Amino acid sequence: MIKKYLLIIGSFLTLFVSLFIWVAVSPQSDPTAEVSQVGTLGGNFTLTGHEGKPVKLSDFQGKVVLLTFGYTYCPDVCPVNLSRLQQIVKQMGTDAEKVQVLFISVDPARDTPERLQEYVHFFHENFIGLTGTDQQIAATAKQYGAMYLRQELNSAAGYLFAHTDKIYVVDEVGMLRTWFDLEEPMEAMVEKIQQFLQDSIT
Amino acid sequence: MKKTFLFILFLCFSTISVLAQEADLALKNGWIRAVPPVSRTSAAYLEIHNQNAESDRLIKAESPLAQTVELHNVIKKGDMMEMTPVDFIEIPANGSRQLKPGSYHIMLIGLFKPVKEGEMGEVTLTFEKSGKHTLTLPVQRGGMNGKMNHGKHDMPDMHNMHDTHGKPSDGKHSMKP
Repeated sequence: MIKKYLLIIGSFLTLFVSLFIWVAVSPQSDPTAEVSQVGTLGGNFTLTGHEGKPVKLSDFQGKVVLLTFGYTYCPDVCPVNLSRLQQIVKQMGTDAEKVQVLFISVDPARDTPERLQEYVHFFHENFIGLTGTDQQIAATAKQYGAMYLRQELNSAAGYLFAHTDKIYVVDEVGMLRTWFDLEEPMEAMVEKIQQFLQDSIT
Repeated sequence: MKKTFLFILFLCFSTISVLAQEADLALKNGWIRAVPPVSRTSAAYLEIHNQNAESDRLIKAESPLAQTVELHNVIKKGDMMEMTPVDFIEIPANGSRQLKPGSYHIMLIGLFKPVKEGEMGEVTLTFEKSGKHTLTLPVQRGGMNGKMNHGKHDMPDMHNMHDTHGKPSDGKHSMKP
């Protein structure tokens, strides 16, 4: 009798272990790898646009949204990212209108909507700067796995923020698909965005 | 045969003399970031090549463009880019240091007026051993390398950058004992 139970438990164990190994070693195709990279991150949010009106991510359904976190006093990383976004839009050519860039401020205390507008429009007239309450911004950053930390430095620049430098890529139905690091080559970014645009047509 | 030997000898000496002349710092591909008018901070970037057998240190930067000029570094901590002021930037012996976005750079804080694309800006660098170097750098827009048209083969652009050597003695004064 005990032998029989042991046999059953044994076979279940074997089944479980082999299933585990199969899942672990089975090759993953590219789309699956991307899904596992972004996991459960992303989602809709409502913040205040640089014209002072509420702006929702879902307002841009039908476009690929490129999302980045930063602040207008940011001296190095943010101008780099916004310049890269400007170049992406330029290289998209006729598809440029299917791409929307959102720049979310992590410094609402200093970044007024007017200031944000002037800042993002320097890079591109269609870019939108977003701000909100500390809580709203913190919640949005958390949704996307972005981090930021105010730093009091011994610098004439006053306080600065350490922050995530990623460009988040949201597809036309509002799903976070992937992100780009600061080092991601321009060609690779443009190619991926075009791929997401094509995906939704087919 | 003798002629060839002499010619090679001449070549060797001329190479040595050229090297001797250049046994200093070479400052290349510098640029200043064009920033939105609301922004009162900008940054300057360049490559510093050190052909000396000894390492050198960039210890100070000044510019008539801004109230304060600081040396900064950006370090990636986990997922975040963190910027911190540094006391000096080490230039290794027989090596180089790139001051570039997302890394070491010169911070221009409290710009007196917005720096616009196409303008030129002056930056004076003080090195511990090589003294002062004043550079006139172009103001450019752009991402990582200050160039808008990202070709795959960006050629180093040197034609609009001038290095005017300060008096060597200037540098000596700022040397630490």
